[in-house]
Amino acid sequence: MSVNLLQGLVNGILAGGIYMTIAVGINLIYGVMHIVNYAHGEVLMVGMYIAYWLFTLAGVNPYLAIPIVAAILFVFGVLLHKSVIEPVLDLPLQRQILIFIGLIHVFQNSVMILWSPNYRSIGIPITRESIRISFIRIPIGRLLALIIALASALALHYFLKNTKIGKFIVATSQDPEASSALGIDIRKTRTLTFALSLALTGIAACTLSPIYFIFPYTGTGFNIFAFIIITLGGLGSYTGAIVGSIIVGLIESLVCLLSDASIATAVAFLVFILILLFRPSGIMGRRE
Amino acid sequence: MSKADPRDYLTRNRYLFYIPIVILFFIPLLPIPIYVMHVLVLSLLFAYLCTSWALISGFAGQVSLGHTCFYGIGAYTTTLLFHYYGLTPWIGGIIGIAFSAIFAFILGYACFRFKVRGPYFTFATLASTVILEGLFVSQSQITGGELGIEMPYIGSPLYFQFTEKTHYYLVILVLWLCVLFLSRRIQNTKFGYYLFAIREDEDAAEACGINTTKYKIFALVLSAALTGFGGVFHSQYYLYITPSAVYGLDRSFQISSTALVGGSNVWFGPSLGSFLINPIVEWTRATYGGTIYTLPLMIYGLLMILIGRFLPEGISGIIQRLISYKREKDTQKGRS
Repeated sequence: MSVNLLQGLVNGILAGGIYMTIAVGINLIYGVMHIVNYAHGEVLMVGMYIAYWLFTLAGVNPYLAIPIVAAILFVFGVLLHKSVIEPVLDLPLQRQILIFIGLIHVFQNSVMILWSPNYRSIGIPITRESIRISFIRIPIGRLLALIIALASALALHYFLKNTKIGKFIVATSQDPEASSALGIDIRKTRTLTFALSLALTGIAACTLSPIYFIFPYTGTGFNIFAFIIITLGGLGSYTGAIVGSIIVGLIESLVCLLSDASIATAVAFLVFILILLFRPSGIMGRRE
Repeated sequence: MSKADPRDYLTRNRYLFYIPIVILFFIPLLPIPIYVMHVLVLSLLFAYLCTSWALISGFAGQVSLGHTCFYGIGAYTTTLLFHYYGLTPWIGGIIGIAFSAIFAFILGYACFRFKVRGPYFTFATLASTVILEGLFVSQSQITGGELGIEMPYIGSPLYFQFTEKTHYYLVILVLWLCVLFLSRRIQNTKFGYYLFAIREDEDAAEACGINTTKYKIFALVLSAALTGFGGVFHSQYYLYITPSAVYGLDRSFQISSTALVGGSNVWFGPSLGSFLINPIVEWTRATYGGTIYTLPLMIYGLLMILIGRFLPEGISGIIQRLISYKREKDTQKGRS
């Protein structure tokens, strides 16, 4: 039993790591611009397709493709921000949601037209292995995803705290007017933030592509989890995203272990609603 | 203002507005193919759902992306009661509506009482849909799990089952008209103005002495009860429900986007969106099904982006702007 429990904990933390990769990106955008990127999972899906094609056509290992995919999505982020996101920023929530649902449709269906709805996967040997510590197994693919997610989160943290541009981003998220008065170009900072967030998603896409199926609706499932996690942790809160993803991952895996797999997600989300009642702005969120 | 102004004539002869409604009632007499009838029923169902959705999400501005939880409760309550106890869906439906309303009250009380707002509320509704879907999938001994549950076919109006699509059409038409008139009434009453005030600025509304929590809960419960009856209709129309069909997030997103395309701040907006989009989507599905079916959906997505970007109030905003523009012109003429 105790071994099972330990395995459950490990699985939960690994699942949390996967959610974390996406949640951190959405939260970065929310912190600076106060909009939720509802189409973030779809960007992840596009990133996974890029990794897939790099692997299939050029034989690039997905883990080595990280800089390429991140760079492509960075440029894509600049374009997307300039064309769609920037004009939306000051609109009411309803219209933002309409535009993002539109974006989801465009992403999913253009990928469907280009590459058909077939399931695809990247088969590299390392992701089929797992590390064994006595009775506990740790799948290497998931472990790598967790490590890379943590590493990129730490790198982001370092970037925000210690570089000039990072400090611009933090200042803009704290008070746009004041930072504008201090000579920070808010528009540029926002574009950069959005592109940076998409580049982070590109990193996540590379680590997830060997362990998940790649198809036009991959993003939807991740999307819902990411929304719940960032709201649980507190929208815009950096630590909140990490704490939230570990909580959701752990609850899910433990419920799976102790009772029933089909109800695991439901229980995790129920806990989310209950926590929301006591902390209406999430665990680490600022009161607005 | 000239004497022959048609608008002036219409204001004096209000009953003319009822002519299109009467025409809608006589449509079943025409020899319409079954498929077209199905599209009409679907459009009316969505018009009904979107108008109900707009009560809380458009009027009160509390965007819900999980309205299917109320829809599913209505559908499942009716079906399960009929399946196990043989209770007629007319009574089962009322119980379903009651359950939807109770669930909405609990959710609304919990969220609004504790000041869960904006995106936090949106995601709370999203989560509750996922919770209910998981619950109904997991209790497979009772609900049939992912495979869903069938409604025994009796084919008697006493059991809310008809042999003709036209009868379903008439039922949903009446429902839609009711909710449309209700929505119009609400827009012009004190309750509606309270909701608009909450949408524009909740803190200011509260400072003015409006009990925002109470009115938001009331709007949510009303909207949920109406949506619940949509679910009852669904269960009787398709006679087969699965958790993903009635609770699925696709439907939630479809309700919100259709209503927002039409414009969710006016009573007629959501219906406009539904009558515009559903026939087009269904037509493209029938015409391009299997080949480039997704292309029309992609164009629809682009359309949503453009409407969200350039039309502040959706399509109904254009109509409203035209009316107010005409009025302004008239008053200017009257002054000179």
